Amino acid sequence: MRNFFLLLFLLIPGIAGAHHGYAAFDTTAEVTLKGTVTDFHFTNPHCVIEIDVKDDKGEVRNWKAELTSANHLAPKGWTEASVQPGDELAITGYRAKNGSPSLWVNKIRMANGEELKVDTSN
Amino acid sequence: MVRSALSLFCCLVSCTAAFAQPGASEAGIPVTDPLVIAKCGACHTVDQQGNMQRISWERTTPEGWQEALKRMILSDGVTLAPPEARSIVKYLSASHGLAPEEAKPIMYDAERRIHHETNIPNDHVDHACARCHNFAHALAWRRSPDEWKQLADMHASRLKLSPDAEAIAFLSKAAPLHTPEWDAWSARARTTNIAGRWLVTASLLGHGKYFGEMQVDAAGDDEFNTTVHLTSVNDGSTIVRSGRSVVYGSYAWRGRSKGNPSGDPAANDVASDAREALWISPDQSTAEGRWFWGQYQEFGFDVKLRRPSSDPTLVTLDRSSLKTGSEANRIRLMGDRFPGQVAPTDLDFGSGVKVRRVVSSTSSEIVAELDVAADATLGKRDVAFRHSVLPGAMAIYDRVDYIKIAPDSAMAAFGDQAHGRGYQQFEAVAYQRGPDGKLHTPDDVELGPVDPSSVTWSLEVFYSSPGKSTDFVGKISPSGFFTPASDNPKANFDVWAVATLPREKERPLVGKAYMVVTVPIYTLNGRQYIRDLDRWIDNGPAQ
Repeated sequence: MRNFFLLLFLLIPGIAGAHHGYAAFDTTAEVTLKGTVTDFHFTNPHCVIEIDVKDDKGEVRNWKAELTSANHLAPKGWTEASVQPGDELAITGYRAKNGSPSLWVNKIRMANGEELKVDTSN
Repeated sequence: MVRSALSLFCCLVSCTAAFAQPGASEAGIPVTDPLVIAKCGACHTVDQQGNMQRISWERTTPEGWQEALKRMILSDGVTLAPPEARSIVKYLSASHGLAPEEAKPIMYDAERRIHHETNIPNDHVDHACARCHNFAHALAWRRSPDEWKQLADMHASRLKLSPDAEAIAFLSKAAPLHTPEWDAWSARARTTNIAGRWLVTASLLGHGKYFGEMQVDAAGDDEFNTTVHLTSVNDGSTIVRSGRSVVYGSYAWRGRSKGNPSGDPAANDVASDAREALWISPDQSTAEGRWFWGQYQEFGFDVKLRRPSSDPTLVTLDRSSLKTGSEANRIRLMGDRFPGQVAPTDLDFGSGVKVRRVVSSTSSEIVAELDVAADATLGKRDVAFRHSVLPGAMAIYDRVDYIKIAPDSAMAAFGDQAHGRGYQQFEAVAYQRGPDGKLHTPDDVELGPVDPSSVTWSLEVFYSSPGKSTDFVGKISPSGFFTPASDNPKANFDVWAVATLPREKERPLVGKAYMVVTVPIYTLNGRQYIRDLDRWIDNGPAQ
C-alpha cells in the first residue's frame, strides 16, 4: 500500500513545501521601504533583495525583501540582473512578525516610476 | 482481500483506459517485441498495423518506461521476472524512446540534479505538472494528443486533479509523438559500440577537476564493464572506480560504479558507490553526465568522456583564469599522446599571452610559464596544443568584480533513524562583470573557483538575530562543506551559506547561497511525506 502511493507520485507542492510560508509575516498591514539595493539573489525557493533603508533617526539598516522563486519569476521576464546594487527602490509588503528586518514583497517601484511585475504567490 | 480488490479495480481501470483509446487520429509506433506483446497484450491489444493500445502512442526515457512498468506490476497485477522487466525496458527505450536531442535538455532529471526550471510556460502547465513533478518529468514523455488527454483523465480519476485543457494543448504541441528528431534518430541509430578506451575529465564540488581514462569492455546485450582511473588536478590523488552499465537506445548510459575502499567513512568520500547517468553523443564519440551518490544524491562528479585520437589531445588545464600584467604564471596542461619534445610555439593561448617557456613535459602533462600583457583582451579564449583546442578554457581578467556560490540554491536535511543526513558542498566562484559593466548579465566572465584557503564561510539563519549561534541547524567547514546538526530539531530552516573573500584596501566580496535545511519526513493532515531530492512524496497514511 505504501508503494502504491509512492508510485502514484501524489506529491505536494515541491520545494515550496520545504520552507516557510506567509506565516512569518504580518499580512494584516503593508509597509513601504525606500532605499538602495545592496544585493539581489535570484534563487529558489525565494528571490531576495537586500536593501539599505534609512530609518527616522537617519540610521541605515539592511533589509531582506523576499519574493517568490526564481522559477516563477523567470517566465515573467526576471533575470538575475533585473535588480542591480545601487538601484533605488520603493518596496511595499508585509513585515516579519518577529521584528527582524525582513519583508514579503507585494510591489516594487523603480526610481523612474516603473513598477516591476512581481508574483506574490508563495 | 482489500489488496486483491484494489488490484482488480486498478487493472480494470487500466484495461478500460487501454481499450478506450482509439489512437486513430495519429499513426502509432508498432510494437514488434514478442515479450512485450505477450506480457502487455492482454490489456494493450494489438491492431492490424502492430500498434499496441496506448503503448504505441507514447515514447519516453528508460526511467519513464521503468516507472510505467513498476506501476503495472504493483497496481495492475502484471507479473514479470526481473530479466523480463529489464528486457522490456530495453526494448521500449529503443523502439519507443526519445531521440538524443530530445533527451539532452532533460538529462538533469536522470542525473538527479536540483535544477532551476525556468522553462515552465504558464500557470496552467505549472499547476497541472510542475506543482508535483519537476517539469522534466512531464517532458520526458512524448505522446499523441489523445494520449496527453488520457494522462490528464488518469490524473483526474486517480488523483482528483481536474484536467487543464490549456496544459494538454501545450504538451500536445511541445511534446508530440512524432517529431523530426525522432524520425531522424530512428533512421540513424546504430549498434552501441562504446567498448574501448575513453579520455575522462570530471569535476566535483569542493574537490576541483580530475582527469584520466576509462576502459569499457562489452559484457553482452548492450551491457558493459567499466574501469576508470582518475587523478586530481588539485593534489594528484588518484581514484580507481569499477562498474557496470547498460546503454539504452544506443545513447542513454545508466550504470553503477564504486571506488577502491578508502577507509574514509565520510559521506562525501569519492570512493562511494555511485549511480551513473550519461548521455552519449549520436556519433558515439563523446559522453557527458553525472556519477552521483548520497541520501539525496547531493554528491556527484560532473563527467565528460571522449574517444582518444591518434594525435596529441589537450584535455584540461589546472587554472581557469590569469590576470592581465602577470608574469611567469605556471600552468599545467593535461592531455593524451603529447610528444617527447614540446616547444613554446606548440602552445597557443591567444593574443596578449606569451608562452615564456616549457618547464617540463610528459606524454600526459605539460608545464609551461606564461606572461600576460597588461593590455591583453579580457574575456574567455581558446587554448590550443597544435591542432587540439579547448574552447573557452582560459579567461583573462583585470579584476574580480563579484563572487557567486555554487550551487546558489541548495537543500540539506536533518536525519533520523531511518534516513541519513543530506549534506551540501559549496564552492565560491569568481566573476568579472564583462563589457556591459553590469553584474549578473550574460556577458559576465566566469574566472573559476576561488582558492578555498582565501574564503571564509559562515551561516545566517533567516529571521535570526545577528551573532546568535547557528549550530542548531548545522556547521559549515572552512572548505564550504555543510553538515546538518545531528539532532533533528523537527523544523525546516532557511539559511544563507555565506562566503567572504577579503580584498586589499577594498570591501570584501560576499557571496550567498540560499539553502533550505529540511526534516526528512513529516506528517500533515494524517498523511506522511518523505523528502526526495527537492520534492515531498506522499507516503500514504501516517502510521
